[in-house]
Amino acid sequence: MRDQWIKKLGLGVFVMGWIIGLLGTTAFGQQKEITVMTWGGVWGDSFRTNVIEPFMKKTGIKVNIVTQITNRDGLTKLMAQKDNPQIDVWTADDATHALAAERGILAPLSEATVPNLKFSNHKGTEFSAVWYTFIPGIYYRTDKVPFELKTWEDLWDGRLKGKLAAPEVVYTSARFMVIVSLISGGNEKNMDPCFAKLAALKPNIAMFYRTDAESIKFLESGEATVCAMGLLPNVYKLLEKDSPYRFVVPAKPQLIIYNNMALIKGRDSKLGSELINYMLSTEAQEGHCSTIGLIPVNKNAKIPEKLKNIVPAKWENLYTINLDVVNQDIGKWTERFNKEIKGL
Amino acid sequence: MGKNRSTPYLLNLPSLFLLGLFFIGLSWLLLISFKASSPSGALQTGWTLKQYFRFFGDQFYLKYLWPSFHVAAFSTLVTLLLGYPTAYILVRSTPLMRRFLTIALLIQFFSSYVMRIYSVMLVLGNNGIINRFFTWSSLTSGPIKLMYNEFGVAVGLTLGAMPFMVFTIASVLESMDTTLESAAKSLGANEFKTFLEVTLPLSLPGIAAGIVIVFLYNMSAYVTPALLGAGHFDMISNFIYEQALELMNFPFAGAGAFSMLVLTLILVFFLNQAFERMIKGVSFK
Repeated sequence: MRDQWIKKLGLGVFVMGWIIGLLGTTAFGQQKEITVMTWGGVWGDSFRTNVIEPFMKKTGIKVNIVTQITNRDGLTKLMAQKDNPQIDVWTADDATHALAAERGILAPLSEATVPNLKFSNHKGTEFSAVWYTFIPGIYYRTDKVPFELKTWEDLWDGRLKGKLAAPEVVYTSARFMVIVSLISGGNEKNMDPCFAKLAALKPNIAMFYRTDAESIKFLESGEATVCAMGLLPNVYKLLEKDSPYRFVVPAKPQLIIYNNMALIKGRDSKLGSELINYMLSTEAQEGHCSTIGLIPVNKNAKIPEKLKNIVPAKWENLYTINLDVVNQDIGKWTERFNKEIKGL
Repeated sequence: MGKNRSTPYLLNLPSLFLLGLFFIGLSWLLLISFKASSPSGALQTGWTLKQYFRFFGDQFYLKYLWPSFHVAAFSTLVTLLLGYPTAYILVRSTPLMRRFLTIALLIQFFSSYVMRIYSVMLVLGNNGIINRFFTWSSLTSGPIKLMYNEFGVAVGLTLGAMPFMVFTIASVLESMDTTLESAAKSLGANEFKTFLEVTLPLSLPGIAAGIVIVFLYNMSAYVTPALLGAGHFDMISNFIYEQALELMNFPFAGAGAFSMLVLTLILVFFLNQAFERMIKGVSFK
């Protein structure tokens, strides 16, 4: 009797499961759905809250988020699925998008499908639209550093011996390398001065980081007191009044980093364009940028109040990096960096 | 009722499928290592040994191999020295102690690997327990560097690999015939001599398996050197990761990975040979 009851229950559960499964693939399967690949951490949290959730509410389009550890990690994933892409929209820095466009995995964008592009201060390229911009700078602990850091050259100060966390070459597509080259008389086409200058920095370097999370983790744990070049969003929430953390943008040279959006070739670009258009809207730009400290590109979006005290009002020493040179030579620089600076 | 001969093969289909996938991946890795690529990562036509010449021709890249073997072997030895007594206590202790040790090892085994490494950082860091004690007791004038070097990586590897060593040795000790130990004692051997001449030789299969498993586990470590080496001590997996996932140079990463695989297999082959000889020697006594 009991056995029969269990059999009936089992059959009932099986039939219910089958019906639910069927509904999932038919009726619910009709729901519009896209996948976006982006970063995790504070970046991903704010993106989900300020962009994805309102977008889903507004349009009814379901958005799945795939996390990439670094820009290059994202590119590798996309290259691996080139013949059968699973990602619709991908966010990465301008240099990595340039590399992806060269490899033919991005689909073109235009104002016809992304109308909000016409409000953008920085348009980007045919394949990669600028989402927002930000400035790299130095962040450090005022309670552990005996002086105020103002310039990039301050990183070489003897009082910072063994206190510095320095980025690996690939972090932000070698921006730190270019900065060091510029302050020592070179540029991305002439990196010899950069390596000579970095060799002199070795006594100050305690460790190297390759991700945003690592850059702040070392400071928080006290293993390092200065992050040689970091991004404002990583430290933005820690910059409250009386906070021991400080973010400084040295006057010369100043670089802007563009984080961009792109559509992946081989996917239905209509829904992806809709998401990109929303990412460029005033509402999404203000929400995301004010949460983690970014500069919006939509002309109508307000620059976060807190940012006005941190970023320079005028960009007098802005340097534009030749991304083709960076993408061409980053492998060589990494090898040389590992040999001469890390000294493995 | 005749037995269906195909049943074992059918049951093994899923594992054969997984093995097939593994070999396809491995073959792809091998093939790609004979290619050249552009800076954007595009594979070029034709075949070349360029990647292998570059890897073995440059002292710098060999520097990834030697420290990897060195730290993997060192931490395997430390894991054995710490793991054997733990396994012995685990098998021979009271049920309560046994339960406690098993739970402690299982918690470590099933906890997130990254969290485990972070816990090591809390102990070894500048503000970690050890350095605080050293500074407080005036043993050192300031914090000493316990991580971001080979030592830190070795500690992390040892901690991560400990359950593999303990459970492998414990399973052999468990199945050992304890009457042999009793016989040795009844013939006048003391505890130490019994352990040295009976228990230890009979547990050699467990030691051999533990060493091979832990050494392979250590050799392929990525997270531990990434977090506890922090760029100052990279292992071969960090090199492979950097070349493949950050520089898009899959052919060179493939050459590095395949070279490591072949060298490791050769080493493990000789290790197995040596252990087999030792185990046979014990059986013939």
